[in-house]
Amino acid sequence: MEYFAYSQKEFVYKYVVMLSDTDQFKHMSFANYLKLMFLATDAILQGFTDVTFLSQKRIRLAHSRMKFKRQSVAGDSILVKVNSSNLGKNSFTLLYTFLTEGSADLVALGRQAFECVGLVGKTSEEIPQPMRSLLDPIAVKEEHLLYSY
Amino acid sequence: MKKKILLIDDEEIVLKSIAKLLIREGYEVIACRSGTEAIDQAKSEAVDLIVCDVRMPQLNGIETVRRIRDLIKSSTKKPTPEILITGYADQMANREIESLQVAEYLYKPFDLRDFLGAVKKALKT
Repeated sequence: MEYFAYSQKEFVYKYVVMLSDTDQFKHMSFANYLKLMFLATDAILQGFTDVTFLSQKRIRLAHSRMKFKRQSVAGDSILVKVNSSNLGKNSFTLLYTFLTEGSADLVALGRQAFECVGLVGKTSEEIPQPMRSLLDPIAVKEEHLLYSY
Repeated sequence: MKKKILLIDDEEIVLKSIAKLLIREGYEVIACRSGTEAIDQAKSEAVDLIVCDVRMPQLNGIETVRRIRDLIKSSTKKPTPEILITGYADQMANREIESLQVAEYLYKPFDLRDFLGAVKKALKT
């Protein structure tokens, strides 16, 4: 079950934790939080519909990290709030704030840095303007945010 | 004389970050982990501003603010502006908060400069 929408200055991706996401202790396994970051990123970039892009360029993950704060269990609705930062000519960062819907408990904080590169991955390329227009509305100054990602 | 701020949030990371920021900016901070603790403090301390998280276990921020307002009304203390902060609010919560008419309402994660701006503005009114 998925839900995503722009709200305030953030992109919100909603995910309901399934039984299959949980481990033997009935908590969502750590790897699935990482998966959620990728799912949320995919959801944002769904608005970018230039089909020729992938025949010329790639968005490469340069760096990824996560701070895990609290467990979640099957049935929990996780809201992944996404902001962008450090939006440069060839690269950008996405910041992920995971909250439990309802209680607004902080579950995790994630950060991923991306680069736009050529097809073979050896040249740095400019981020296409339509993609930039998806990231601009959710841009923040990372160093001034409440949480440290 | 330093302005005194009553800060209420059940999330330790937020409480520590905001308290540290406010102290650095020259404010005196009374930090509370729950609405109940905040109400006890409000009984004995006069504060210049209340910053309160909305989503807290047992007693939420909306009810905490209402009870503190009732305390202030029944005393000689002057009305205190409030800033509410939240990581998530549904439509019902948004409507309740609107009816409270607090000084400011911020979504987490907020820019700390925006938060400080809201604090300064609330303290001027």
